[in-house]
Amino acid sequence: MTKEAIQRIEENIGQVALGDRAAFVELYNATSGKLFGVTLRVLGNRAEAEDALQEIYIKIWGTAGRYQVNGLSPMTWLITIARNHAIDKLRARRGGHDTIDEVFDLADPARGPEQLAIDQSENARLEGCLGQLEQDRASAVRGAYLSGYTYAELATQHSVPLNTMRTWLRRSLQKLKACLSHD
Amino acid sequence: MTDDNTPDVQAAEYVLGLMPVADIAGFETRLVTDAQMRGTVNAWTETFVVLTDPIEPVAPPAAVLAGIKAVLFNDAPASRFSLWGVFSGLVVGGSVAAVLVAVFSTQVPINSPDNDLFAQLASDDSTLALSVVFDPDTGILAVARSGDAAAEGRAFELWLIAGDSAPVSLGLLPEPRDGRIVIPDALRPLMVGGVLAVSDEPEGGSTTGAPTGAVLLAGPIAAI
Repeated sequence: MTKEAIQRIEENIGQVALGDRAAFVELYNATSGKLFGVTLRVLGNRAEAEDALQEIYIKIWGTAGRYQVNGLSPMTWLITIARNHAIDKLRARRGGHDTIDEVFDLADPARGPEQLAIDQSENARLEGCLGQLEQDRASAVRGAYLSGYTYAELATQHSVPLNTMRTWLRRSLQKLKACLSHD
Repeated sequence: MTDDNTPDVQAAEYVLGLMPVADIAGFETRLVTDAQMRGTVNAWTETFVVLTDPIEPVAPPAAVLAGIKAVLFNDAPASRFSLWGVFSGLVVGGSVAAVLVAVFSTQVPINSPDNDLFAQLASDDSTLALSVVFDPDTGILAVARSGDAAAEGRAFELWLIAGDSAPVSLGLLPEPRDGRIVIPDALRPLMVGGVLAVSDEPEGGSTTGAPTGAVLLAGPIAAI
């Protein structure tokens, strides 16, 4: 996404906060593909993702006025709304139960070396730091973010006691932080 | 045992949705006043959102935008069923979604003389419509209703849905048709950008604190 496109999205959010319907449609046209992709990825179900996307944009309409002060970049703000809403729906559906198979269905594909070579990108930077963690711990971080797994679910999937999982993950987050701030 | 629950870790757990439910409210209260912690939460949010970079955009079907316009702008008739779907979707009381409310609700509400808010809600079959004007300075919500009265032994109840929060009752609609509802101080800032909804409830209103019957009307309240 170009700098100009991101700037335009930010302007649109400001206009939407003032109730500008045309700006809302422009914002939708510019961003709904990405947000639908994220929603589909989290929910893994097309009909549910379509419902979620509708709810997400209604939320965006209602909360655009709070965007200016939060200090996030516009795409981060929008994607975070989508991700959080999708995970809420997923957790409501899951109701605390899940099969281990789903982990593998939903896990990211393995990262090829060519992807890691793009060290200018944020993605490569985070992937690089995740790559320094033990593989199962990096996958737990991904599972929490993209699949909404709780500590209890992660512990079950990795066949470790809950406290062990919590300690693992907290230490991994500390390592991740150290790695990211040293770049 | 070493203390692995540092502020950085707490912020990361909050963003990931791993924070114990019991700790979330306390953490969010802290976020309101602790700018450094807000910065840490934002930094983790920007960090983890990168995990969505490899996700390719997928064009949603045109029906999604049409549905959104129907709900927000009354552009086209939306079925009662879909309104209910949107309504129940909006009120999923998830802890993850609470993140955004806490971080983004620090903005001072607008307080200019010309800051009235309006809402026009109509049911798909035009049997019920509501026109609402809210004056944030006085907290008075003027309500005018047209259409059918509530059924025998039933009542219309008005709800406010602010951001990701669960619906809060604003009381029963005034009878017979027009009247005023005084919005409590604490709820006034939440009206901006909120969604109003009317549900069909037993006489005297819902006893559960949440809508129990069909959602008859729903739509945003906003400045024009």
